[in-house]
Amino acid sequence: MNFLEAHKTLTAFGGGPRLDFLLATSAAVDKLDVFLRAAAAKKGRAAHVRTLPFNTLGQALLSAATPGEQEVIFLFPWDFVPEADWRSGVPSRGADVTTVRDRARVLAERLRMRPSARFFYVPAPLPPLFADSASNDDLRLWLTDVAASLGARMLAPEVFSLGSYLSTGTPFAGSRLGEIATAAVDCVLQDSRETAKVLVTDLDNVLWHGVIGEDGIEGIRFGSEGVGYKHFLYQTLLAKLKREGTLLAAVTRNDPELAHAPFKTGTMPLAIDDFVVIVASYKAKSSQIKEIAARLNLGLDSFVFIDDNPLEIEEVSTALPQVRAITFPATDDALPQFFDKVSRSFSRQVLTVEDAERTALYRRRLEGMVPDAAEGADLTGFLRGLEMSMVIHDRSQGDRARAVQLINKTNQFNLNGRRITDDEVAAILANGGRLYAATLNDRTGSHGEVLACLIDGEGVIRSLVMSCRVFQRRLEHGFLAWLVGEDRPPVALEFVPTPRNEPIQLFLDDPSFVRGDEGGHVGIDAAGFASDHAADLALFALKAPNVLVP
Amino acid sequence: MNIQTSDRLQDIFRAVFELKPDHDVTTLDRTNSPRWDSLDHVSLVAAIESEFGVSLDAADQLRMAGYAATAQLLEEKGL
Repeated sequence: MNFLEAHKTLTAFGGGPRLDFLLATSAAVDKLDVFLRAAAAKKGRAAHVRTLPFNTLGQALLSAATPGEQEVIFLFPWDFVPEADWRSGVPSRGADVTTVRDRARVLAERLRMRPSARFFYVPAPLPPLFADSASNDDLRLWLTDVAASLGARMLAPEVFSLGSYLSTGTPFAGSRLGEIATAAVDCVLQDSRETAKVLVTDLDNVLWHGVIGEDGIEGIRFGSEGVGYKHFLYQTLLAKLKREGTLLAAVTRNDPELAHAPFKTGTMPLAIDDFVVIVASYKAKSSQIKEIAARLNLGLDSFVFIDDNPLEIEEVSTALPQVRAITFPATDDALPQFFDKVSRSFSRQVLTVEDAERTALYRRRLEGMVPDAAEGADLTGFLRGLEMSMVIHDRSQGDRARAVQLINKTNQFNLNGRRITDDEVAAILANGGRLYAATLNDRTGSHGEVLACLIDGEGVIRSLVMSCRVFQRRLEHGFLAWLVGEDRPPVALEFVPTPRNEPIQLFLDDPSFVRGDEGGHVGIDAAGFASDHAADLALFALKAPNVLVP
Repeated sequence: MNIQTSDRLQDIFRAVFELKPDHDVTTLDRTNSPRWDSLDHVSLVAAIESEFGVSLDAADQLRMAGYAATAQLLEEKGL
């Protein structure tokens, strides 16, 4: 984005929700203002950026972050080593390596105390500080390591301009201002979103080079050579993301037969089974994505869309602003930055067995979907035909990674939307709490661990979540009917309405729940619930800690 | 300097100094533009660097006393 494009974007921008954040750096950043506002406007947001007075980053870091304010901090070598600031000149006395590094570590620790801050590091050249050049090189590399240990995103050294820094106090090259502003805004927007779940890719000139409808099987390229190389690498990235739990889907304006043909060659890194669904039709891409979201029962804000055509990107961005639209790069050289952007959208801290099998789980969901019109006796008959079994696990001891992950990533069937750390779960369990998880199986196979329930020592359900993959199976009713029949039945649920947890609000409309208790707790009529939902529990062959499969 | 580059440079001047699309900026200089202050000068430098992918050091920035001088500077830089 160059200046006139930024100016044009801002002139045409009709306004949007505020995007507030702090852009902190020791340098002057006035030059970035128009580019930051334009980068946000391109995403439909009105940027309100707070900055720091020139050369006050060090002082600002002595104070705690403003609650709720997102922070983006651009760091330079001289933030860690003030002697290396070009504006101060080369020190007349040689610096002491140990002292320099100790001081840098202090700043790094101070930065580490701001867990919600996001860092960018500019590996700018250093003036010669030490008598031997090897020590200067060592320091430059060491500082990069320190920045990396903070999780900083590395910018290219070329974004630094000494001329600009000396003349205006802004250390960024004018030609890179658009790129830097876009990176900062993307970082803020990405951090305000949860990890994406579905990657929807275009096919022609994205998954392969060429247009299948025009070039035919013989004319398209996806091998590890020539014009296909970029697309080969992209497919290997998608295969990795799929292994890590990302759902792959494809949309294309083609006939289904044509769209499937390249997969049938068996020579591409990706197979058709790697995709949870491929929608081939002549509808708008936004309609195709909405159709996928409905079939998978996932929110559009968990979708990333990738296309090489700027018009398609624009169409989807306009019709579905919740979807993260990323342009497939036109050149091989732009591939690393593109890969980084895509990978960050799907970044995960912990991988579980369910992550690796997610595509298969969702494919089963699509096969076992309840017909839209099914209700009453029809629905019961359909569910019985699925031959479902529920395996309940006591996760109060041993591996609970999946249960905690489920609590922290589920939005719709989520009792209160609260995220919880493993340490917090451990503290509740140490005080007499219990953690249960449930696995659902049916005639199509296993759906994995899809329900988690955390109960504290007082019998209050602190977390109750269920994967949206298994809605309409009556699993939540069956599980709770089992739980209330146990020795220590729960007495209440810690319910908080959120903008997205309507499914659990509907669940709590059941007459056995008593709303209005103090502290926002919802009471449970255990006997009533067990009686009313015995038929739901009977839909499942049950294997619980004290129950054998019939 | 070709016409396209000249048009872009004029658009930059109009955008930075918030002038109307038909304003003649070719005669603009620091002596006849009361709002051309040091902050606007910094903005103008950033805009030109961004738009044309050039680097303007302190000496270059001092030479940018008006539209004509800036156009001359850019021509010398091969634009």
